[in-house]
Amino acid sequence: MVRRTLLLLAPMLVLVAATVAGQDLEELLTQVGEPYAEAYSEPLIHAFGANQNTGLYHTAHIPAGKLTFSIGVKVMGTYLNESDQSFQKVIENVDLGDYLPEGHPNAGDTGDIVLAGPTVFGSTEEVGTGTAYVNGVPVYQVEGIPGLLDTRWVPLFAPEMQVGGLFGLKGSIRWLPELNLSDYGKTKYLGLGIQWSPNFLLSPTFPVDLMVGYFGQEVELGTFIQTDASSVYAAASKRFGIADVYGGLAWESSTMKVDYTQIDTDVPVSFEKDGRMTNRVTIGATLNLGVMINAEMGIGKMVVYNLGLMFGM
Amino acid sequence: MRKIFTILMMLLLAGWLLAGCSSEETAPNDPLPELTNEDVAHQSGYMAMALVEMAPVSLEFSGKADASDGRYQYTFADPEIQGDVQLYFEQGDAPSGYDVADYSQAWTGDEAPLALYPIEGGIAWLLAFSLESVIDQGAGTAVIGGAGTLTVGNYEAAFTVVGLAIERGGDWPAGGYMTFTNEGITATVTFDGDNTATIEIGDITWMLNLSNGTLTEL
Repeated sequence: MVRRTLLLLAPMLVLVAATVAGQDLEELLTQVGEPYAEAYSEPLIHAFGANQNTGLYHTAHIPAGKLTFSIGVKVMGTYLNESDQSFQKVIENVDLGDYLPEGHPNAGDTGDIVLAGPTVFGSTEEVGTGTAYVNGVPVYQVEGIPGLLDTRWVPLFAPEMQVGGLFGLKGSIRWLPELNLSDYGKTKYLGLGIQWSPNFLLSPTFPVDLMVGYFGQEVELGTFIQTDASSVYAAASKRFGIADVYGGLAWESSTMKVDYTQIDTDVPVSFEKDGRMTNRVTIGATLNLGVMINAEMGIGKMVVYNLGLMFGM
Repeated sequence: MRKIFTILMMLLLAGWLLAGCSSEETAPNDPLPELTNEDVAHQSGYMAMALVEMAPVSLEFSGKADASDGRYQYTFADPEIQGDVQLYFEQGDAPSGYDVADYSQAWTGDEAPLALYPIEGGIAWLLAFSLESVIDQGAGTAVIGGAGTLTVGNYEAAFTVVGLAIERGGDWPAGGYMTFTNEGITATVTFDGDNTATIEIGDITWMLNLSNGTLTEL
């Protein structure tokens, strides 16, 4: 009973935590314009998409005529490059009138803009800056924003359910109930996937299990952040005692769209960026100890880790 | 036994993987806009003017009159220069009062650079330095040398001061020079003995008016 309650409660707590983090991020971003926000958010954009496309399978074994069911939670984490905790974005040879306050003596000049400071995962103590230069001389500087969370680990939690076992097919769903929060809007997390193993068409002595699959997901945090991610993959696994060792290749994409209104200018800001991770090699292992515990690593342009805990048969 | 072996192998594999991989950089890390020779000449000119303001402190200190350990602090509160300079005076290798000293050191404290405001309404340039002076009280002169850094927005310049000669009551350095390097461009600023200094970068020469900061290419 306690275990079931925890299983039901954990995803809700995760959703609330994610929503609070999203609200904090929105509060920070509304203080800056688009170029700053885009550079500041880059590590989040690329890590979030990579996380979404992680932990999509923990074995390639799917029975052809035996119903299987499992439910559990997947915890993903992208380990960022050290340099992703700060950024420096330079916009050269621009009309400074677009960036300086009205009436500034250099508003009519052509100059350079340097935006620099912690990223969303940089120092929470340090505040970034936006500096305007004319001929190498800084003529105006405005404060940016601090980091949201000082870490190189970008986590994502996903409750997941799988049903399969007919003709080598298995369906997966990642889902969290919608929350409607005042001042923020609805939060939503939905992912659907399908896997197919051709092993029932092969010789029973075929040495490994094979599987191909697709998974598509979307996350919305109010109207502020919307993400889409999808992955097409092929995998193989082999059982050694209580462990399934598995590996695979994936071709994937992800997009994050950010919308907000800058507070001091009342200007709407909207930008959309594709995730950096477009393909990966996955290696991992699942221990079958009554519950299934899996650990894996996805290696592509980003490096992503996954731990999973699945109950079922 | 087989189970334990399997788990150990997995732990070893996990450790090996954790240790060996890293994500690509995703945050922009653009180089700063390239500076021109003239940009660096302007910056070195402002630095030279700040030096002219600060240098007399080692010779004409007028703050606290008694410091048995030779240590003083001078506070700049001008519109162009703000902050504290730490000073140490000695005579014959022993701490002394400023008015009898034959040697002094001047420096900015850790994390407490001077703030320069060379552009009206502009942002502070942060000046950190450590200078030494050899003082001749009888002649009323001092010769200053040392080094420091000047943070100009996102740029970090370094400078050295060599043989900067000042006189008690004098308006301008009698001689000496400063080298100033920013983004790989080095300017040599030579004090002409009057209200001008000569700035050279490669084969380009400017005359700097120390009174108003005007730079004229020669």
